Amino acid sequence: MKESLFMGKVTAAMTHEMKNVLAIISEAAGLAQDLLGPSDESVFPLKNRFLNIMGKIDNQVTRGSDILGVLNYFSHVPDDEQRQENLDEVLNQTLFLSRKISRLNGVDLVTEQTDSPVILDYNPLKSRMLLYRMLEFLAPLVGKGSEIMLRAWRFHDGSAGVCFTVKASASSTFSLTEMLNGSSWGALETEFRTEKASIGPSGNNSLMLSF
Amino acid sequence: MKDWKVLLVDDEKEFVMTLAERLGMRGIKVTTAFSGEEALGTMETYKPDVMILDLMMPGMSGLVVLGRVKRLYPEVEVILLTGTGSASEGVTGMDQGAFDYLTKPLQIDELINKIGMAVKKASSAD
Repeated sequence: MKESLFMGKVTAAMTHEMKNVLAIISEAAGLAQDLLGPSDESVFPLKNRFLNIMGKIDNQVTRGSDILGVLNYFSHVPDDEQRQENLDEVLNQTLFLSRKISRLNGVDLVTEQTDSPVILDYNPLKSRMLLYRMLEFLAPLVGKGSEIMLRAWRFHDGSAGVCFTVKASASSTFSLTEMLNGSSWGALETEFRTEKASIGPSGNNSLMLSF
Repeated sequence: MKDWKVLLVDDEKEFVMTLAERLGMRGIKVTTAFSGEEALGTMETYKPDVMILDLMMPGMSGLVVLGRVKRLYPEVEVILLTGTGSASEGVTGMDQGAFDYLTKPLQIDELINKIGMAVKKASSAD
């Protein structure tokens, strides 16, 4: 706990520094655009190319800023050992943080929002860790072109969970249950049990994570 | 826009100088300070319409500067700059009298729009 708090504190400070770096890049690119704006192409023939480049810098600043925003939020996650959270928001943040998993495996990660909020009362760092772990396990298993859809779930007893539904790519079909048989699924089940969570099949191509 | 007087306060010198130049190109009179202490010193002789104030600075923090400004010069409107993705710092600042807040990196049009609204509020209070 102390270690994760320390990690979070340092990460939060660094995201703040990085925001300042992006702010300077953004203003410098903006100033260049301002200076080029009124100039005539006959005086500066590369004007449009430069404006185009400045536009790309702008887009990347926005992208970097969005990433830092989520990373900053994430860095504060260990501040509470237990917290009530809207599970839809937790899923959205986790998917944002899992973009690398998605990109490396060529798998689409999507969420389906619930009609009414499902509240999760759990350790916020652990919930994200378990969700991330599931995606890390599932993405290479289902393979390129597939989709993993996450949906917040409320059980009859009021507890919360997440349903993972996988869809094969247009050119293939698969059975998730069969895939799990040849995988390290058993080890993953044990890992989740030690975190007081459980995972199990829920229909043909779905898995349920219960917190 | 030409009559707007802005005091820009941030310890990131390159950010301040570049943004000041951009605002100046749009006809806004900009004075700069690189710390809270320097900003308060400047305000003893120079009264801006709007102060653009970074929240996280070494020495006197943005919130402390905000408190002093609102006590000594309540007619000056303050727009806060936050570096984090979280809105909580900005909202805290607004509870303490700031006109509004923006998150870095800035969109120049959004900043100018906010300065305009703050100037309007400051002049309607005169």
